Amino acid sequence: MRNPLDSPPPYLPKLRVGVVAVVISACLGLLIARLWVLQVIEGQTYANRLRNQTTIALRLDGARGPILDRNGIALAENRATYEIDLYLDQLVRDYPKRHRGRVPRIQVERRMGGATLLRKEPDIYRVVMTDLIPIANALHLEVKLDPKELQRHYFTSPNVPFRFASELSYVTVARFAEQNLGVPGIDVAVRPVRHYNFGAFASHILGYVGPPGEKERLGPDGYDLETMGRIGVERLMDGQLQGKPGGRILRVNYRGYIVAEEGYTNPNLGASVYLTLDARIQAIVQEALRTVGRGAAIVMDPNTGDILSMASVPDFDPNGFVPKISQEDWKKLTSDPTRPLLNRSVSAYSPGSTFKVLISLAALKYGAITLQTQIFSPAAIDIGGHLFHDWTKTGRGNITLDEALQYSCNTFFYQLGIRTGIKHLDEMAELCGFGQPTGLSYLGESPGILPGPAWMKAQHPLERWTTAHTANLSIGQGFLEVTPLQMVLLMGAVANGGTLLYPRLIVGVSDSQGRQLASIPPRPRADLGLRPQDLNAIRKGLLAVVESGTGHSVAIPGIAIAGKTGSAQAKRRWHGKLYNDTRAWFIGFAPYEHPKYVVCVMVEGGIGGGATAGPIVHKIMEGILALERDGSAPQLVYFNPAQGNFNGLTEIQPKVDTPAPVRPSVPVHEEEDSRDNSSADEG
Amino acid sequence: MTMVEKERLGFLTKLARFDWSLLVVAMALSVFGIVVVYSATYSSESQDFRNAAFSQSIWLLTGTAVFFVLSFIDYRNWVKWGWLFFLLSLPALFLVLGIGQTVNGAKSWLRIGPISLEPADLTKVGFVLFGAWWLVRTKSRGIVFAAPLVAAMALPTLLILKQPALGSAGVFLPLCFGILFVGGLRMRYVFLGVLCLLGVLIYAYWGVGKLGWDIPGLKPYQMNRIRTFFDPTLDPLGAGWTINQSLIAIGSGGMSGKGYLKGTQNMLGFLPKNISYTDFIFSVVGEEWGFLGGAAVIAGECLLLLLCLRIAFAAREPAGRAVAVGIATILFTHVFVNVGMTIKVVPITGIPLPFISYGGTFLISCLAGLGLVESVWIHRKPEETTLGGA
Repeated sequence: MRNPLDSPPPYLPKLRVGVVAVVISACLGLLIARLWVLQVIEGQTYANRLRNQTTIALRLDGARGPILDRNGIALAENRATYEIDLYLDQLVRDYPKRHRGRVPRIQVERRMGGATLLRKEPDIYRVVMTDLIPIANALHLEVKLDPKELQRHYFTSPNVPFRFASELSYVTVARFAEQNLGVPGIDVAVRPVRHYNFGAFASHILGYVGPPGEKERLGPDGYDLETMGRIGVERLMDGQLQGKPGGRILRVNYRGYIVAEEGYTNPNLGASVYLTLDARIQAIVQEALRTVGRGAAIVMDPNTGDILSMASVPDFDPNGFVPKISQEDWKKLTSDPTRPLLNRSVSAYSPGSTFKVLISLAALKYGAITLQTQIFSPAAIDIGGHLFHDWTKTGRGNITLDEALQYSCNTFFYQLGIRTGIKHLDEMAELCGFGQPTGLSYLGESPGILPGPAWMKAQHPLERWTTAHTANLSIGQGFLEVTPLQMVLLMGAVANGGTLLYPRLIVGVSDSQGRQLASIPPRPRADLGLRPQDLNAIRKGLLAVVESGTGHSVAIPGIAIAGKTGSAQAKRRWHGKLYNDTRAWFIGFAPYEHPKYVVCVMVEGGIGGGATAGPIVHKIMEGILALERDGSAPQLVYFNPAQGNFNGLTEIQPKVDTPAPVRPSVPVHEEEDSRDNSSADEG
Repeated sequence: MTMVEKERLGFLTKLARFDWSLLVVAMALSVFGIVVVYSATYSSESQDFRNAAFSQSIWLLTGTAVFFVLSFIDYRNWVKWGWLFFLLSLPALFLVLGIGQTVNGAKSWLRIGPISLEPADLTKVGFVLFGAWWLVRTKSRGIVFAAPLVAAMALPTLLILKQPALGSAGVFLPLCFGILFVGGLRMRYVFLGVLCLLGVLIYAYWGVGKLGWDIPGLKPYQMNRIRTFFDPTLDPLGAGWTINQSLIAIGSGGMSGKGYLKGTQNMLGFLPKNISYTDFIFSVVGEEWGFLGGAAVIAGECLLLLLCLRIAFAAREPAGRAVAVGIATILFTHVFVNVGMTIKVVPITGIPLPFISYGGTFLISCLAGLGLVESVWIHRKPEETTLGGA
């Protein structure tokens, strides 16, 4: 029994137990409070972190839509290419099993949260090499891997496959599959890659694609695009052509292994773009044009403005830009003096006598002459104290407009231009779209130059517009510069009865199921405003040009072709010497009664319109006729790039033995040429 | 010197005095524990893990039997030989240092035939009995009372630190303090103790946390754990991995959790499989059952502790009070440190969550401890029932 004297000092045990209960409850209450903060207040933050670490979103690039000609022949589409992908994480995981050994490790420095830590990580380079070398050897592939890059890829994105080899040949892929070379983690993947089916075919129109530059452009969904259109239709229609990307959301475990697929959206094929081009006519034109070193050719439907063919020589193979053009090739293309990247169809040149068509239109429209008016046209006439020559030594005597057109008589047109007046000439030329873009700016077109008094004041304030300038303009020389496209549109208006059209290159856009998304109708631009009998007279004159005039080289039995030749003098400085670099032109239409084709050919370094451009037009028309007659068209093959050259340049002897008055007679001309030279070289 | 008083009670009397509430709460927690252990292991490929829930059920049945046996035996029989139990548990601690099995970096398991046990758990209970024994042996409530207990605490603490199992070793300090405090230690020593505790806290927070001091005698990996406690971003893929993943698991659980068997952190292995059903089971609770589930577990544990303290409150006999408070302190320390480490309140140390974590010896130890407490209730003096009743 307890003795009170022996008992320990008194205290309040129940109170102390109570204190313990309070302390315990408080501590556990603290835990609950902390739990509340963690789960309810900050819960969303942690949920996001969870999502970030357990799911990866992969973007599946959409395939680019095709570009087709008017008949549905694909000019640019996607080709499947094969590549070998390395799944680094899986290789590391399987390493011990496959090679009966520990995964080799390597000491790596990593910066983490401001501190640099030395970490032991799997030596991914050795792991990869162990598995890859036998496969690469069997496929005769060279293995070039950067260990550092590999290690970084493994550290930063172990779930994203590492691309080891791309653009594998089909033979290689077949061997890979046949010999069953793949191991888990090394696999062949298929990727769509842009392909231009016929090589250097309408390449200036189609353009090309390339990888987007650093931060250059993001897709509509904020992701980097795999490729984007660089120039031409590829660039203009990039938004339509781009396939809508799909995506996969994958659930990964703590080691990054994919355990399930949470979501999948199919990548889509982009929309198809239909061009007005007819691949068969394009082939005919390109075949015909590649005989020259530099030139352009356009075939257009005068009733709709549809560009059936547009070619420029030299050209290039856009496949060279896929997936990425090499530095070397790019330099070769850009430093080539014949400038293969330049689309000559929409570049500006001196039109020469082809411009007489416009002068005739203006003169008749504004009543400067009638169809019966005769103008005395000698070998040379004096304008403002300078002698202006015809290209014949004899002159033509008293002739009317249709005869003047037929023989391309210069002295007639000098006077005709001056009679009409520069104001009316410019008005008409402006109406016909000269000096302005035609609307195909995405082809890099030049507006050309339409000179006149106002233009002179702005560009050359020290000079004044004189009748000599007007005379020069009247034969398509001087400051005037036009593009083959502008000329073809002018001829189109003459052919179709007086309606100037906008050129049409894109017919419409359809989605991958063939449903039409957009269509672009033909669009008239202006009415020439000529009396029908006047226009008919000009047409008749143009018919005579081919039948019995300067353009006889074009003539084909059985079809009436009308047209106009032109030979514009231009000079080019090349290797320190001055050369004549004559631009030979022919613009025309056929058949005469119900025109279906307008053709324009321009050759740089030609002899003359009839001699150089004429035979090419002849060949083109022959090809088109054969196509119309029995559908026989040249087989669409892979076109190698047409090579440019400077053949046809004739050297100008430093000692000029031509009569002295000639030089001052074309003062504007001289200056024009020197300017032209500089622009041709730098441009 | 007083003899521990003994009354002989019949079995039926004992049964009539049985406090069922203690058992009901403990069983509820344990059954919930098995449910969670199943969730933490069902997706695992290893057979060992997949059997965990079943094994735990067997352990629970065994533990319940132990609970009943100890409930009906007068605890004073044990207290009388308290010094002996404590001394007997010490060689096991030596033994484990020699032939123990290493689990998670600590040599803390003894394998005897088919069963493995953690001697540290036995020592904890042994220390409670030893404390109760000394409490009734000495009249002093000053140095003479405290010094042997502190010395006796230091010995197993050092041995367990040697394993090294920081968490288990850390249980002895509050345990010793709890017994001394409730045993009637003079207030001046109590204040001294509280001051020491505050000193340690300040040292840990300012010295180790802010100034980067090393704690002498700790292994580098233990130091790393403490460092990453203060800054989990230090090495998120290394030492900070577990705490970060645990925070993500619990935090992403939100108010009501992701649902049973739907915890991705555990399923996908972000929460390491080998600890998600033992020491980090609370992370699974938090992820799958949310704040409601987590708070309920903490509240359940708290209720259990308060029931123990109610028994201590009702006991007028100091040894019984000491046993009840001692056991409660052990359980409390486990709950606080275990839950605390998963939600970044204390550094990570490997100690399990009573009744919830997988682990045979620990579950049985806990139920045995509760059995002792129940015995204190059953064998209280009849007149002490004034506060009783279920």
